[in-house]
Amino acid sequence: MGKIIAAFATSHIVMDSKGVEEQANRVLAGFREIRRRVEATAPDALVVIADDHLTNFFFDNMPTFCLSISEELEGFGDVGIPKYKMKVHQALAKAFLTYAIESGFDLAHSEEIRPDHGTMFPLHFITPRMDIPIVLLIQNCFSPPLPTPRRCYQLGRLLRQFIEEMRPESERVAVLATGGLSHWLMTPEMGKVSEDFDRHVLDLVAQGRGEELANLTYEEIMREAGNGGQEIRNWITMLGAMEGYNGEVLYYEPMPAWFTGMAAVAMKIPASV
Amino acid sequence: MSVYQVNKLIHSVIRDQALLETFMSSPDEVLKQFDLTDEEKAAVRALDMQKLYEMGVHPIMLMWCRVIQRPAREIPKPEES
Repeated sequence: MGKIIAAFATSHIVMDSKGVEEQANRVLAGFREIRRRVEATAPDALVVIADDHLTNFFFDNMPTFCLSISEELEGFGDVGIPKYKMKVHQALAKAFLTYAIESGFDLAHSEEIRPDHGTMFPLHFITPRMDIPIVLLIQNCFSPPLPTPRRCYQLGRLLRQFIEEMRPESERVAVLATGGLSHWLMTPEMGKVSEDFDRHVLDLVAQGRGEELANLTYEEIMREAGNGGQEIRNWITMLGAMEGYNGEVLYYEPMPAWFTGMAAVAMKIPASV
Repeated sequence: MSVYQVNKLIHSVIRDQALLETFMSSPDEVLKQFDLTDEEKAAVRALDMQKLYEMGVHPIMLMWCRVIQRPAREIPKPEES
C-alpha cells in the first residue's frame, strides 16, 4: 500500500504587504514551514486540491470535480506569478481517475488545464523548483450549485483508500489543499473577515473533527464565510483523506487589508504510518 | 444579449494575452465579438464595477476586471535553497 505522509491546507493569496508587514511575514513564514515539511518528507507525488477562478472552466461547461491527467502542466501566469512548468504524476492521476469512476465517483478529466493562482501561489512558495510530481484536482467552488461539502469529504476518503489499496508499497504521497478562509469577493461585504467562522474551522481541524465541516451547507458558508469562503471545500476534501488525524494550526491572521482570513494547517501524521 | 455574454467576454480576455491587449487599447474591437446590449457594452468599456455588479456579472469576473485594470505587481519570491 502507498501512504499519505503529509497533508496541509493553506490560503492561496498573497497581496501587498504595505501596512500589514507583520501579518504578511507570518503568512510567508507559514508557506516556508509547509515547504520545509514537504522537503523533509520528500514525497513521490503531491496531490493539490484547488479551485479554478473561472480561468480554465466557464459556464459553458462546468465540471464539479475535474482531475488533470495531462503529461505536463504550465501555470496560467496570473497576478504576477511566473508561468511555471510543473512535473506531474500522470500515472497516479490516470489510475485515480479510473479508480474513482469505477467506485461510482464520476470525476471529469482534462488534458489542458493552466492552473491559476489558486494552485500556483502556494506552489510558488512551497515547491518553487516544481520538481515534485503533482496531481491536480479542481473542485467547483464558484459556479453554483457547488458540490456539497459531504461529497468533497467522501472524495477525500476515496483518495486515501485509493492510495492505500492501489498504490505501490513504497509510494509516499503528500496532499495540499488551497483556498479560504472567510472572504467576501467583490460583494458589498468585501473586506469583512469572519474570525468566528475561521477559528471554528481551525479548532475542528486541530481536534480531528474535520468531518463536522462536511455538514456545512452552501447557504451556511455563504452567510458565515462569504462567497470566497466556499473554497473551504478544498480543505474538506483533504480532511476526508486525513480522517482520524488531528491538525496543527501553523498560523491564523485575519486580514481585512487582504479581504480574507489567512491560515495554514498541517495534519499530524505519526511517523509510524 | 445577456450577462452570460459579459461573463464570457471577460473570461475570453483574461485567457488570451493578445485579446486582452486589444481590449485595453481598442475595446470596441472586442465588444463587437460578443452579443451585448448597448448598456452592457458601456459598462464593460468603462469597466464600471458598480454597474457590472448590478447587472449580475459573476464576482470572480469582477475580480478579473479589477486585476486587468491594475499594473502587474511584484510578488514575494520564494527563498533560495
